[in-house]
Amino acid sequence: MGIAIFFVLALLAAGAIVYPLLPGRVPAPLAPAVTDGEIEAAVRKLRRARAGGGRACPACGEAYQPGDRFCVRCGGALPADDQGKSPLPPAGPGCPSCGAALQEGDKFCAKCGYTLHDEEVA
Amino acid sequence: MILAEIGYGALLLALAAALWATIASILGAQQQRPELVTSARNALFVTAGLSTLAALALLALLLTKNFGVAYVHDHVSTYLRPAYVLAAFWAGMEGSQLLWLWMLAIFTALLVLRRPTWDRQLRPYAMAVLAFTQAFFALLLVAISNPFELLPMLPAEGVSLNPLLQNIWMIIHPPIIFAAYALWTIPFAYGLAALVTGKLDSGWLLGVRRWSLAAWSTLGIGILIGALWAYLELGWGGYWAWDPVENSSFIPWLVGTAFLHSAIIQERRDMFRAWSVGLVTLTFLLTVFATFVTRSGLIQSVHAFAQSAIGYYYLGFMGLILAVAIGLMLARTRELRGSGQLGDLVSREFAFLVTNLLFLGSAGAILLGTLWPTFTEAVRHVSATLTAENYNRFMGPLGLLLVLLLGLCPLIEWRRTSAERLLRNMWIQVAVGVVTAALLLLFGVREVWVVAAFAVVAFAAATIELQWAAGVVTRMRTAKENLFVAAIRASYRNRRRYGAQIIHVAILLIVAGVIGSQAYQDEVQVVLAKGEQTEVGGYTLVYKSYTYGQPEEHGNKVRNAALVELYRNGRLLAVMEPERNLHSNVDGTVTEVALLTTWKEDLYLVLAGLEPDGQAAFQVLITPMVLWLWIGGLELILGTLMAAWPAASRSATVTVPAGGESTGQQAGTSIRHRAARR
Repeated sequence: MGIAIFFVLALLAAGAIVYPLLPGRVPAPLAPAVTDGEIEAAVRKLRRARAGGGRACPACGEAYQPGDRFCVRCGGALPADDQGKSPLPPAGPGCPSCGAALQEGDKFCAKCGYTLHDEEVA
Repeated sequence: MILAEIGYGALLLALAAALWATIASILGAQQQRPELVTSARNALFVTAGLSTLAALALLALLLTKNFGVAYVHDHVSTYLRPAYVLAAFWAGMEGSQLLWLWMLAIFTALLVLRRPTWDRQLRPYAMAVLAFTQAFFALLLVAISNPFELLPMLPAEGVSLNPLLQNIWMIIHPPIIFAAYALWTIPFAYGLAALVTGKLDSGWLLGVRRWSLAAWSTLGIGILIGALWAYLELGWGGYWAWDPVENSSFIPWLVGTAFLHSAIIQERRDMFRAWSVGLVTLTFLLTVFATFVTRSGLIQSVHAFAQSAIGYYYLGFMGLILAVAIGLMLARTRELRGSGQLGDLVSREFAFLVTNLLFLGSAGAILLGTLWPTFTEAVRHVSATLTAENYNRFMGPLGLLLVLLLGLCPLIEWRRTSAERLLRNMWIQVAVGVVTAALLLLFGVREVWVVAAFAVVAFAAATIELQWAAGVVTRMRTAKENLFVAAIRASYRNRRRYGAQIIHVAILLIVAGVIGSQAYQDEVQVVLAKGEQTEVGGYTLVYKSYTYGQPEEHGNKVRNAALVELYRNGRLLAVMEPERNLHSNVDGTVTEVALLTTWKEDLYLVLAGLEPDGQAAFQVLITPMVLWLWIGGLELILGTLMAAWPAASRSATVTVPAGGESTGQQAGTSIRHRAARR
């Protein structure tokens, strides 16, 4: 009796495992070499670099735009030389602290340094 | 006996399926053959089903009290209450390992149930690690500690469960601990997958963040429940004795805590990549080690090691995992180098590094202390055990240093902070600490370390409260909200941060409870005849009546109990009935304590002895602030839920509406955050 049940279980298990391997099944493709997140990050970086005209945060190297006072990546203070308007259009939501426009991917507000990525624990 | 056969058969098949899942997922990823990965995924569902079947079979055998099965015979009896049959499931090595396997298989199935998203590349390798771990436990169960092993005869009665384990908290403590161990396997599996694929940026950390949080807090709660059980059941008035079993679960918790903090640094500053992977590997290995230590008796005696080959299985598995992890880390040295640089000596990165080192150091010291008797026995043939005082001597200062850092870290900025800026940031907190110390001195506390410890806790608590207050005030100003709305919204919108802060407050509550209870436990022993009374710490205990040598019907227990009325200022607070019983299956007597808990202190009444003529010896312990530990535990759950609440977990990516217009909305309310999983 126990043996019979064992064989039934074994058959069921084998079926589930072998089924995807049968010819004619079209499986979902595996991961591409580059993930969406990586592409998005690269695009963000490029967009920022173009808008900033070659300015880079002295601490982390992230590109910034004229008028920014804090690095949007590391939150570090930026050299206060460039005054002027940001060439990027104000895009949607504002900083909860000062209301300045934010860009996708910002971790810190570029104007007041408010920590958007304000998360102290994993 | 058919149930035993089915259970064992299910384990055999689960072992085969888990091995296949390991091989198929690795091959599938290496050769880009998705059908193999799908097959591995199905195999993982199969192991989940089969281990569930095995667990149900064992449960059924225990419930039907089938004494022909050795495990059932050893852990239950005809008179064992049905609720404790559950506790019997995980009372021994075999059942514990089955529980481990079962939980791991269920969590793995839940994980792979979701289609891969962020983890498309990592998933097959993570599956392989999870499947391999399942295969290890299945192998143990099949080959060396079979819970379905049959006895050559059919005994009429079982040994029954140790009465110390017959406690409501012992029903839930082990499953919580093993669930935590199984949960830790998932972040570890992804860490290893990140090593294999070389995708060592913070992607995997963010992806498994909720699993890590769940694992961490489950383990913390499990440890606290274990402490609660020890306090209620062991009858010595304490909750923590630094015994090997307690230590073995505390060590991975410490290392896991370091992992969580290291993950934040990696996420924020792209540093500590090697730390994160290394710490999660270590945490996992320590959970396996803990399982082994708890049930094998290795610490009690090295000779336990030789009695069964199981130790070699565990050592082999841990050695293999360690070798693979170290090998991969060496091969990935380049990818393990993050872009962030360690800042100044006074920078938050550095403070976190010190925190991590302290956590790791504490874990290492406790591990060494735990293994010390084994070492000395092996080398000098005398087992030398460390006392609780030994542990307290180094863990006290280390713990306080960590609490100090908990209060200091948020005040230190990333990269660097000037000394005057730091001082400006923290004078209020320092003042709170000093005032606390002064008040304690004023109220007659004279022990320097108690004053210092409470001052440090107050300092840290002040930092957390001030941070929160600052967030609320900012909101009130910028979003023009009233205090109440601002408080709710500030916390709600930053759940991850404030969830963490709630957890930190919970830890502070627990630390305060530990300090209070360690410093001021008051112990009195009295012998009373029936009708006599005594005064202890402002309470009046009146010994009213007793029960001597009353055998329990349908049981293995002879009951001795004393009935005591507890008064304070002439008011009846409680009727307490401590017991000291004889059980047929253990040597000596087992106490059941009576307890009165208030937020200020616990009155813990132990019946130390009872003579046939009713003369009773009582041990009365008054321990301050024990309740704070349990409240801290509840708050820990709350904080974790808040930090991990799905919609709140965000990658801080601001969603830009198509077209990029509309800034007209009120500042602060228009931010939408995208969920971390993309």
